[in-house]
Amino acid sequence: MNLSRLTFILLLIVLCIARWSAEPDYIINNLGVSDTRVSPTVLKVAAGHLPGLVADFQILDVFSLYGMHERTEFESFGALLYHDLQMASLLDPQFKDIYRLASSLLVFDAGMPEEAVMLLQTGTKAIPNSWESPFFGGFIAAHHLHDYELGYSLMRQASLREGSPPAAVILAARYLKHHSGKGDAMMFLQGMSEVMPKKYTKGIEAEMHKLSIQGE
Amino acid sequence: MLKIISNTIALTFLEVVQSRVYQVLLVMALLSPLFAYFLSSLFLVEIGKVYMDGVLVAVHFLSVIFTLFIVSSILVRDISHKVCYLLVVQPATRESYLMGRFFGFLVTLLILITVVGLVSVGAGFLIFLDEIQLYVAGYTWSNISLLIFLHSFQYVSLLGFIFFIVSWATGLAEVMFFSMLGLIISWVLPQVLVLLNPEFGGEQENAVLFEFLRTVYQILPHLNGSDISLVLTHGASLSFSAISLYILEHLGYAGVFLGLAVWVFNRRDL
Repeated sequence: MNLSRLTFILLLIVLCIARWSAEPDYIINNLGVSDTRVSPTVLKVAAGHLPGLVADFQILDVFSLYGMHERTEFESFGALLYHDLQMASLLDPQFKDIYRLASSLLVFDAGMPEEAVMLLQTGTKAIPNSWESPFFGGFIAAHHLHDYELGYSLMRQASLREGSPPAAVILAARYLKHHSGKGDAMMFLQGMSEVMPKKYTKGIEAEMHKLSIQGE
Repeated sequence: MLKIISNTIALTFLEVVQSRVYQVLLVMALLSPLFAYFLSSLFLVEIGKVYMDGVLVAVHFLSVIFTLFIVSSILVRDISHKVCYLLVVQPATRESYLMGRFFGFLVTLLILITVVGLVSVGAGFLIFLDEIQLYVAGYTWSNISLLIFLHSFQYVSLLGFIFFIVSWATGLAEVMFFSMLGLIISWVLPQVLVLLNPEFGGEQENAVLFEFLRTVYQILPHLNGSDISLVLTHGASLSFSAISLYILEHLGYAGVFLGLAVWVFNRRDL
């Protein structure tokens, strides 16, 4: 084997080692810096004629963030998650996945119920024929933020929409009386864990476990 | 004149179909549902919507590559050689040449889009056959067909715009530069206009700039298919008047710019 071939093979090996060993650190380091995310203005301009696809990519980013967070918990997880969901709702406000993820990951994994309710209010306006966003938003507002007025208002909207579960009327009535019991929360979380894909129900199950311990 | 136009359409079709770039685009069109499928398989709930987004990206890129590379290069070659080889035995007026070429390219673009449409609808039928209705909400064969047709219709405007540039630009570099510039500006300008609009919170001191940019935007093709796509990918329906106005806008733009191209080209010293 001549010298040039040997050099080429050695360089190839060095490249492979450098890439495999450096990549995970590089990704984690990048995730730690929330300022590196593009602003809503830049993202909207760059998305141009393909806002739907860019919104899809924002959601894919949410999945990868969640995967990263499961492996190594990092501080900026909540902020990054909210940023991605907010960007996606700006580009494609009718995309239901945004609101499903906001009402599960953002609340139970990132602990940001206030931001989740804001997103769900956007979803309530953007998708007038769906009961999901006001239903989830109403529950989170009442149970986590203790804002029963907002909870009642959203839950009432959910109950008036086509296909809404009977629980929406019951919960709306309870929120009107400024009451949110543990049973309601368990019923809601149980329903939510059935709707959400199993991969993303870790936070919901932890919340259910917490509630059941409180009762004992 | 009509005979020459129809011959030019037929010959443009044959010329484009035989070009390697078009054949590669056809293969890409056949593979486009695969990209859409892989993208949608990464999602958990609204996979029907994501599949349609993937198909729209394929339509967008195939149409832009077709108009920028195939159309520009063929027209520039004809003009710089001062001969359209396929019509060498048949003298044609500049007007009939441009008209024939325009409709010929339109037919070949339509074939490309039809291929994307047929394979996407067929593949979608197989992919979503056993899927839970909640996950594919909004996806129906009629919805995706209408979506592809309407989304691709905006490129009729782009075709008219490229014909106008070719009518006065000299050389391929100039044609490509101005076409790309037009495309990039028409990509970013709508959002910039929204941000600058004083009626929607833009600063009053930018009002002059806003009016200037708005005027510039009127000259460019409005690639506004995304407005329609965002509605249709979620299964909502569009009113007949919205569809008609959208089609009329693009037909009108292409007609005006093709007319301008003929007018300028007839006065051009070759």
